[in-house]
Amino acid sequence: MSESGLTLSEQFISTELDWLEEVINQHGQMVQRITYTYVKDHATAEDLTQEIFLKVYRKIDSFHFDSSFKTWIYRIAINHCKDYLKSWHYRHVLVNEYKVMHTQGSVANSVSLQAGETAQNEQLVNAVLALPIRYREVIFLFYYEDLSIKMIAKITKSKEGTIKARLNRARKILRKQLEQEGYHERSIEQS
Amino acid sequence: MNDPLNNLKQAMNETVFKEARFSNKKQKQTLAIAEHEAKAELDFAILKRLASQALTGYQLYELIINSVQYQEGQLYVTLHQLELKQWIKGSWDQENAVKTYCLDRLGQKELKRLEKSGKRVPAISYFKRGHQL
Repeated sequence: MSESGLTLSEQFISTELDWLEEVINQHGQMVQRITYTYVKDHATAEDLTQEIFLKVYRKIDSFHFDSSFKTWIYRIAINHCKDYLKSWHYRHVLVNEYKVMHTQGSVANSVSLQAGETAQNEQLVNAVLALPIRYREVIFLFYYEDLSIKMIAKITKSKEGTIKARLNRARKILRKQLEQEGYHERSIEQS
Repeated sequence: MNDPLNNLKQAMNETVFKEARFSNKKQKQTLAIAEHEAKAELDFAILKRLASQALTGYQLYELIINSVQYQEGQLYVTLHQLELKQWIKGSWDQENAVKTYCLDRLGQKELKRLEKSGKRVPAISYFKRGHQL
């Protein structure tokens, strides 16, 4: 026994788990939010978040300290979500279920429109979540996570010019969409 | 004019992220899976060392503990557990008063299984606890 009263195996395991718990405490909500923007379902986002942290735990040796740990987690999370959306299960099972729900007139995850600011918030969020993934992810990372274009390019392994172009295109799509839906008082500026 | 996208954070926090949480239940589940894997990790480290040669408990301690940067620990409980599982076999050298361990038949099978499953590098050996997460 050691001074702490733990056997070697208990020490090993407890140190490993403390480390993982700390990582989850610090980055859990961030990962959960990112995954949601890809899959638009809270339960699925939570499952993916779990898988992402287990991946972080298992693949720690592929972190080469050439970026911040947070950046590395962003990258793992985004790649994991994209892999999930490409997966057979998602494309053959979940997408079909979604189509059935649409035809029955029950749109999953839609937010009901209400009066005032809440309605505008919901309208904006729905419009962002309806964007194609390549546009949605840059909008989310830029406006929600406050990441720079340079950082987004690094995380998504794209060129900065590509990210800028996607941001501009996404803004145009959003402006058109929101105008069509009667979103008023504010307008999306080109920046 | 304001850009409504500047309000995206607040809009998402008040709508879709209002109840978005990585729940405690799921966190515990994640840690339980990791715990299971960490146990297997230690077993693997021992089996792997014994695959090439028979070693004493102290030799194993030096090889494994140093490689994962333990300050101190007690390996013998784990070795005893592996003996009970018949993954390793211990034999006493009365003259030198040391016990030498080697891989047992079941241990060889287990080692092959673990090697196939692909092992990870333990986080603590790679990632210093003091590093900014």
